[in-house]
Amino acid sequence: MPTIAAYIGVSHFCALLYKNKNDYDFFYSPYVYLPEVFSNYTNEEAFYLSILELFCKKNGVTFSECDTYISGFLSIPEFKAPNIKRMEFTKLFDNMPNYYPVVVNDFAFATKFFMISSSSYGFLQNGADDAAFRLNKCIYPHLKAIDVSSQLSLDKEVLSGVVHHNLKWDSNTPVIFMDSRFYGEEDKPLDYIYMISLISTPSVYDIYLDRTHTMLLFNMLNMVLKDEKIPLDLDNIEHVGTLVTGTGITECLISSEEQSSFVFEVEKNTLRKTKLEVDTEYRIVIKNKDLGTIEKNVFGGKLGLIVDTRDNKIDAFSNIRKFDNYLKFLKD
Amino acid sequence: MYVPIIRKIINRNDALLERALPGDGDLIAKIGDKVAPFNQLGSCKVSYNQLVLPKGFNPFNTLNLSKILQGTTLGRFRGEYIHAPYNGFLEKDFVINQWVYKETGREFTLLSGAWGTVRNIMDRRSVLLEIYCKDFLLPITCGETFPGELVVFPNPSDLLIGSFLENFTKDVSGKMFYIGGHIGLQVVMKAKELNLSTLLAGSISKEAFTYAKKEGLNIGVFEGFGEISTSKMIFDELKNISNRFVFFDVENHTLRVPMPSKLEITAVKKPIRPLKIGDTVQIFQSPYFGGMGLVDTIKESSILVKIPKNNKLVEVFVPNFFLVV
Repeated sequence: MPTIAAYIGVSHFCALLYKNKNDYDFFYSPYVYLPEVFSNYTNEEAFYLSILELFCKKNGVTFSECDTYISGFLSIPEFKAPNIKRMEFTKLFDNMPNYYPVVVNDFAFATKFFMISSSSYGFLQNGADDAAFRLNKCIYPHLKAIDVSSQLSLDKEVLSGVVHHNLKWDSNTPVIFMDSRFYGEEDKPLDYIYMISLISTPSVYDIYLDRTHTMLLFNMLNMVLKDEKIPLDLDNIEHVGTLVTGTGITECLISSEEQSSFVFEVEKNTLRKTKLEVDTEYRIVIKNKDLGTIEKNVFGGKLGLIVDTRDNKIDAFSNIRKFDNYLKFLKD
Repeated sequence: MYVPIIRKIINRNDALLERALPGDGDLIAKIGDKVAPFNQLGSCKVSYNQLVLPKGFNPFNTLNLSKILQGTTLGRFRGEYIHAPYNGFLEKDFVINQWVYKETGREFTLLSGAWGTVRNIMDRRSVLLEIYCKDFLLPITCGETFPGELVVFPNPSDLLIGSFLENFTKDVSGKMFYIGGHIGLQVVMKAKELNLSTLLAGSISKEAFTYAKKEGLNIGVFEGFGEISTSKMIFDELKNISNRFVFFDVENHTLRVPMPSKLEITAVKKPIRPLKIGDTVQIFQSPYFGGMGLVDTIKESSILVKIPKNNKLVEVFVPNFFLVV
């Protein structure tokens, strides 16, 4: 019997239809049910059922023959359909011992034992246009900022909350970012700077980006189809690279079997990117006053090795010129 | 690309509307009656004012409690005489164990307010009507549900709204006002000064909305926050129904406008469907936020929309639009 794992985010809906290990399909909709807008002619259940039916039809199955599991951030609607079961959001991370999952949308941030919403941290808008965008986003949460400053303003609010609460990040397992904040192909440099800035605990991190919620949906399936042991489809998950974060001057040594080693120094309050070949293993040695000396084997990724020695990671989100410099730097 | 459908105006031929008396009374309507807005459904007596007298107060023994004229001495409390502020009667409220002075009930007449058929009658209190109506979507609302006469201003500019408010709001009781494309702080403050209770507009500023919520004004907005004009499809309908008795429903985000005859219904099978070239979409992206146009080209991460007003093609990124039906 086909199984569907679906997730309703703050501003998006995604689903995975699984028939067997070689036959499955993803669906992503950047829309969710909005009571203020759609309740005059439909309800939440009818809205999501019609999406799921369209998805099933596209895959040649009928919805009623599928076992469906639905989770959501943070509430999950009540469904009367007998083939739908609900799964609490807090349980989704239970089966992920090998990753440090981080859910980020335009309103909230959540990881295994920490959650914060931007509304609880204030309303830091920049002028009338931004205020209107922010308020409209409360009614139409799917809205995507088309100018950098509006997106920076949203990011800054969540980032301020995370920094303010001094979240202790775990570098023992790879960090994987996901959820609607990272959906879509555009604005990639903006996404990377945001991810880098969110990580404030000094250490060396292996970073992944899951723009389509692949990890969460596969995890849901593995929680309900325990005997199947479905392998994770890594094609949809991007290996961003290795992040070294710590304040002050940082010395780095990089070596690999194919390349001779090289050393460089990163000044304080700097963000530096060093390109490393994707899927090639490197040996890195890092010296920094916060970190001491760290030796580690890492793999190259989309960005390679990023060294972040900034004291203040929020500043750039209110200073567009500074931010622009970081964007240019990441594009190089 | 699957896109949800937004329904700005919904025609209904079987909407249910409850018309209720403020207290128990006599209903003259019968199930199956055809009614029009000015048909009487029933009536009752209503006391609009009441005075809760202090604990320990007792009325004079000589007083006829059921009929007291204004100025009559009701009794004495802590050495001071208490006089009747209006014609009324005295009753003991056994819940709070205090005397309450109530104004003599005035006749309240319940009118239908809509064209339709009486479907049910609830005791001596309310009548359920099945009516023909147009429901206008109000994504932003605050305040309380309010039935009243709709006065439509012809989208005056910000400079003229003040004089419109001065000249067209001599008698504001039981009325709601479509102010125009936008409500700013000055407008909402002026409305408060003139005792207007309910305002409708295309958009509202954050400051105006905050002020209205604080002051308890009823607000209904057709499009969103910021300076956004009312969609042509909405204003074209509104201007034809000025002075109609309408129903502003805060909880359901709706302005319900009764219609005199059966309406053509547009069926929507699914709330979400694939986008096609030629579809009408509403744009939620500056500088065309709230505007509508026809889909000209569909690309992977954006669409090109033709704006009928100026025939311009504008690029709108996914997902900053809804289908309009």
